[in-house]
Amino acid sequence: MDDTISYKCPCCGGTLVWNSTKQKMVCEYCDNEFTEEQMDELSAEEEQKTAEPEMNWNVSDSGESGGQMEHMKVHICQSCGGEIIGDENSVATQCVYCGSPTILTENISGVNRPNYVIPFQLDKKKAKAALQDFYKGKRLLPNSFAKENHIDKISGVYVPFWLFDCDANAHITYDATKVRIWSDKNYDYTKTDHYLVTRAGEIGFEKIPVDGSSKMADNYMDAIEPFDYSQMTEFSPNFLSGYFADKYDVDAKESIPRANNRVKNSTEQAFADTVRGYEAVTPRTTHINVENGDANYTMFPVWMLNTKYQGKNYSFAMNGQTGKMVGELPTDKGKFWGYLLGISAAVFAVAQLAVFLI
Amino acid sequence: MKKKKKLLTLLLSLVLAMTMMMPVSAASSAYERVFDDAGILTADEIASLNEEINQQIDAYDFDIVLLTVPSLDGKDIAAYADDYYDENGFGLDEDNSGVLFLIDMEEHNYYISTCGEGITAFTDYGISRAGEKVSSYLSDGDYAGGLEEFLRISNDYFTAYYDDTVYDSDNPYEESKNYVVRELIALAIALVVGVGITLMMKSQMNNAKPQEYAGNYLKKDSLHLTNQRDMFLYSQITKVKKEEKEDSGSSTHSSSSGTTHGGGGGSF
Repeated sequence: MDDTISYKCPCCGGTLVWNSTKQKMVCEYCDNEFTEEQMDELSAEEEQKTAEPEMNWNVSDSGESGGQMEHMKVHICQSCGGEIIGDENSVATQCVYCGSPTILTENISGVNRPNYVIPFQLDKKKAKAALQDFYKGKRLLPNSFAKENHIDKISGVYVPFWLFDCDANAHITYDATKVRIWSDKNYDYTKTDHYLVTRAGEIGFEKIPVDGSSKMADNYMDAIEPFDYSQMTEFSPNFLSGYFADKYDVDAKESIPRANNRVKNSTEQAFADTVRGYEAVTPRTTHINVENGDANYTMFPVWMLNTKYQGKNYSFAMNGQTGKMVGELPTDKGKFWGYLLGISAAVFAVAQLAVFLI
Repeated sequence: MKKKKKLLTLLLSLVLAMTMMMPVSAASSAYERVFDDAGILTADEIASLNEEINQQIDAYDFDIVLLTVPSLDGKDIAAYADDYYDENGFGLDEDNSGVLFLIDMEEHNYYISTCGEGITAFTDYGISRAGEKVSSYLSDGDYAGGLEEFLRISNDYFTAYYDDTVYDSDNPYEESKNYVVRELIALAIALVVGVGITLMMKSQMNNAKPQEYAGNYLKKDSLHLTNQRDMFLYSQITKVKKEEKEDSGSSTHSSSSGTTHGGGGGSF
């Protein structure tokens, strides 16, 4: 008895005992038998559980940059502190973020130049029309909102995005079960086969966008995805004329957690899709390491629309390439309760048929 | 004057005859069908049970016999009930249609014996349902209440017999509907639907939702599995006893005199 390792039964947790006639580990409590190979694999999984995931991004603090842009102007909002840049001809009369008219303009030099840009494809008119379309079909929108609310300001802004490329290396194990049901004269039987499923491999991601502006709401910038990368070109300062640009204030390194989260979720999903033929699959251990991570500084076109309604600001963002409109509209409380009670009353009335006829 | 006297005697004798005939006619239709050999019923209870039985006999043409015995003298309860029915010539038509309810006070058993069309009216399902209902009274010592319950049930069964909707396992007896509970369920469903649809409308008001996945940015065909194993560990088998399916219809047997009876019983 030099072997002091005690194995636990994966079925009931009881201690497994070596049975020399069967040449297997046997559980005295639930009568299951396990081969040495099965136990080795299981104990390997236990060790895996404690391993730390590695996320290796080859990203420097400042991120990659294609040099510097000279002769730029920065417009600083005195109200919210938002900074927006434009070329030397740019004039900012109102803050893009909060609509405040108190703007201080300074000349700056040495703005990091992005590697790529997607130029604006849609103009101001399209953005206005898209907002009107956005109101349609919103049953809880206050009646006066579309009428009273006027668009204070529409600005075309190039928003800084980090595009993350990476390979994910994953080793995921699952508890999976197959269920068979049959019956004889007196009993219904359910047989549940338990499997340990292992999936290891690689998966690659490219150009996951994460916005590098703290002023732009993350959920807005996530929601206006996707952009069509086929129209992405090398950056040239010419694209900025007539538009503003937002200077990144969240660097590539700080943006990594948001990319990691999406890589992890999608890797788990893609690997889980390869586990087929089971009734139930639950992840047991998950290890995802990111390799060859890289980030590219790019600018994507976004129309920012600011409106005021009853003294409150409402902001909308439109994808300047695809026209996708994103935003949060106010809810009319009266309409909300009206619909809730109206629908409930209608269903209750119809339900009377069932109450009395069945 | 003489004529008047004659008329008076005629009238009087007529009245007399009528008053004499009334109890006679009543007596001829009044069946004595409660036999309390065990002595567990009061005279009033027997009278009231008998009255109900007579109404049902008149209305449905089914004989109804209620019998209580202190002991079965070693006989099987089914045989005792069947023989009692046969030997006393119960049953109304040529099929001797009717039903007998027997209470044995020694072993605390009851038995329902049916005969003729009574076999059709009281299916196996109907007998077991009636037995359950009645025995709950009997086990509380309320024998008169149990027998009254039996008569209420027989009334239902005979009505169903003539409506061609005999209660059976495929046509179970429906207890009266509980409308309060039904309305509450309807209200709950209505509110769930109303809240659900309205919250869906509310969620349309904000489409600025963060992205949790990067599925759009997967490199095409970049998923390569280097290790793919599905290892069987163990099996678990559970077995659950099937719910016994009730047969429909009525099962029958022959009594010692060769008459076909249906029936069933239990203890209380």
